[in-house]
Amino acid sequence: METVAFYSYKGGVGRTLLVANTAQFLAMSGRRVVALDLDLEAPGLHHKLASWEVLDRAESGTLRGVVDELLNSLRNQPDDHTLRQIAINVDLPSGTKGSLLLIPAGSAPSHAYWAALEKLNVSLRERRNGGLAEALLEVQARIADEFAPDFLLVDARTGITELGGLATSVMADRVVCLTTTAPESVGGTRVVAEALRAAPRLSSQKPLRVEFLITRVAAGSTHSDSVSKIVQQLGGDASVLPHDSEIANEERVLSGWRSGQSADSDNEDGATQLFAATLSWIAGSFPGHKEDADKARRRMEAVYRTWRDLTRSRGRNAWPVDQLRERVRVEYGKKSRQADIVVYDGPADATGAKPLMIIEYVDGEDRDVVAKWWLSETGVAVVAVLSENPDRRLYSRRLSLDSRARHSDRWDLPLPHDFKALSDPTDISVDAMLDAVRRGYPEYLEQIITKWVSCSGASLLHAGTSWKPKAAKRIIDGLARVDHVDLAREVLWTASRDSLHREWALGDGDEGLDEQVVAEFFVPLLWRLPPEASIELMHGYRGQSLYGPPAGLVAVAQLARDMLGLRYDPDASFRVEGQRILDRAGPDSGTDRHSGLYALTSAFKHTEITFEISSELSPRASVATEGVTSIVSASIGTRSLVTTGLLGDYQPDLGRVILYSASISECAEKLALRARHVGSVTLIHETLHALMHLGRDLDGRMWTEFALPAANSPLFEPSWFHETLAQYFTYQHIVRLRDPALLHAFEVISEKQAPAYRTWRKIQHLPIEDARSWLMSVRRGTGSASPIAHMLSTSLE
Amino acid sequence: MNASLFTLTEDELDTLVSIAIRRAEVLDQAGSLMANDAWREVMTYEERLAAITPPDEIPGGIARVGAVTAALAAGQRQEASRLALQYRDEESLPEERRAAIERAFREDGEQLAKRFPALAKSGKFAELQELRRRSAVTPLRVFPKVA
Repeated sequence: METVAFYSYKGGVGRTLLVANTAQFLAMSGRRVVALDLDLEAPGLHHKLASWEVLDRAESGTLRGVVDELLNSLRNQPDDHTLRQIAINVDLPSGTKGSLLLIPAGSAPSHAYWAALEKLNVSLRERRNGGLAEALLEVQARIADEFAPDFLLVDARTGITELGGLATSVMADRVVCLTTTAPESVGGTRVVAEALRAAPRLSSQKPLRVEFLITRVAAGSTHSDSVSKIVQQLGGDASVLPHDSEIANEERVLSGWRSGQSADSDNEDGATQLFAATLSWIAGSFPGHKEDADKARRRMEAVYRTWRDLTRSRGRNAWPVDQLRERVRVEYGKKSRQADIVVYDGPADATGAKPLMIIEYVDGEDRDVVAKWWLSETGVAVVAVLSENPDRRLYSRRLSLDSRARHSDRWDLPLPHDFKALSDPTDISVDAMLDAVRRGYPEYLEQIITKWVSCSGASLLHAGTSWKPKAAKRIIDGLARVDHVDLAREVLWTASRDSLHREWALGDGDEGLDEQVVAEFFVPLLWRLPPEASIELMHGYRGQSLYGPPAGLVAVAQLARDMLGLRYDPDASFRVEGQRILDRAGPDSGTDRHSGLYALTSAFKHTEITFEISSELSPRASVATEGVTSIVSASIGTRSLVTTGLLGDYQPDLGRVILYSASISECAEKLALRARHVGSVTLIHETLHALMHLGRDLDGRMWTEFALPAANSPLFEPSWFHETLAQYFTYQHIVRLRDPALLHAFEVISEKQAPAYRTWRKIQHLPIEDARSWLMSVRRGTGSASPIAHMLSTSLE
Repeated sequence: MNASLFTLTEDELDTLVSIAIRRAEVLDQAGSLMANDAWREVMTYEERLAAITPPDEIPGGIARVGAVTAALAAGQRQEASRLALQYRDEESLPEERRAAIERAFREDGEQLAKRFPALAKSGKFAELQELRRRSAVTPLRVFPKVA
């Protein structure tokens, strides 16, 4: 038995945690280990290693420990019990060859413990019964007799005390001195180390080995000059462990301890470095059977990574640490298994907390069989089986358990919302996620977009995956069915964000992915989702990209380009108009910059389209005495329904597109349509009006006189030129959107509209290029002489 | 040792040691924590008596054995070892007194060995005794500042 004492001159260096980690690792590597807590004034090793049941006993004052043993020895009251009766068997994973026994200090922090400690101190003053040295060596000898461990690891008292001195001298074969880089800690450690080396030894003992470990070194500074200097001060042979703020808060490095790293990790690299450095130090400091150590290391790493995956910040979706527990043994009948992590439906220590998910690292067993056991015996919804193979398998109750359990296609671990939103938390098929989104769980939007990217071949990153256009369309169609405005807004917002915010961040050569997602995913949804949501995004609401124009602006520009063959770019318009005004102003006005800027601002003022949904009455409804219900009914009944002026409007003087919600609702009700579809059709129609007015030819020319007068103007009357073009392009756009509900709404509305709104049917099969040419000629004022105009006017007559 | 102790005569010391022994025995039987101090007081008087009486005379021999056994009873094993070493060096100390001192150590060891059976079985108990004997200063106090 080798006795290794862990000592620190000052507290807060991570000593107890290192004892626990080392004990755990050695036991998992096949060694027999006893961990002894001799930090009697501030014991804590049981908090790191023991189960909740043991902690409950400690709290209630019924946990016996080394203080009771020392007291019995000194009082000459030895009873006939063995140390095995107070040693706590630390539960290790199934199949572990080694063992780990913990001898706690006692029932700390209960009142009973402090009373026992006081009695011990009194007894120590009665030295004729033997001193602390005899009592400690007696405990050590009994440990050797009863357990014959390979290692006795001692958590020694901080500072300079008799107990600490004995634990680190006559008891120990080796002392690990931990220190931070603080000068007082390093200085004290050096003095203690010198005293330890000079301390008397029993005649059978070899010279004491003293090792140093510098802890809590800022990540990235482990090889700095200042640390190297400290290493030299300590004799040149000191190891270094990096600092990690999570550990400072939560006291967790390796698996096996209940407290966990917080979800809002601020130092992922540091935590990883500390994990690796700690394992490396233990393996190097306690050389043994390499294969067993490697196995233990792989297991710890797998469980550690899993813990991180569960609690790492993934927006607001990570598991709260208090819902997780590590090392839980579950017994059913004669069989039992130990789960590495159990995820509960609420705080794990709450009465009635139910396990949702079991996670076990399986080594040397059939993973399917293990999963089947958990699912059938515990009734949990999900089992995750980890293994040496990085492949992680998920199983759920939904899957057939008739013969061998089948594992899910899902690899990543389900998060809290998966258990609420999905009937099977392991099923993240497109349909399941779309269903969840429509039921109010926008958490799946990023994953859905990622799926769309892979199906649509939009990303070079996914060039190797199969192109599935039908699946890509099904995703967009599924999202387009979202009715709830807030949810629709969330869909658009998620789709419009630049990829800096996405998990699937752009890789090299994929710089165009953002634009492609906006153009092919966001834009179709913008026109198809409820206009209440779309209009907010058109104003750049939360869709403002860091580097590009707002996605809503892109959508409008895309409509202008793809349908009308025009350019819509308010920024460019501003520049062009500005230059034109300055050129016109001539050299004399160059000094009057304010005048120039004023003119520039005025000229630009209404070149950008704004959008609004108005609850006020439309111009037509407001002048009618019979009210909106009657006027809509009458219009439908006489096939004289108009879009502009009743359902919506484009106000050229303000550059504003308006939807009138009351008219739209009334119209939808009368025509048995959904208001959102009537609204979308109106939005497209009026936006096209606006673009025909504000869009520029490819040579940059703008035809500002093209717009209809405002609907509330005495000059206003429906123009069959304008409306036919607007309706034709609306139809073409909806056809391209491939939205049957929207197309149905457009056709039903059109059937009830005034002739100017129905003429488009005469040219519905006209190629878009021809319609664009006609638009050009109309803008130039020669449209009425074109063959198309002639055909249409004849038809109208 | 207190300076006033040096002014006491042998008779006075005899009286005091008799009273101290009686008090220590009573406190011992009562299981009082003060027994330790009482035996230390006995040790002090016996040590002084040994200093003023020759080793080859009966009072001197008794005082020497008494000083060692009182030190052991007080749990002052380091002190007992020092005294025993000092008295063994006195050539005129009768053999039976030497044997008595050795017996006191043996009995104390046996008693402790019963209390710490695993330690005794491991052989480290004897090593610990030996370590205490060979150490000139308080042997098991490792750190420099320990009181």
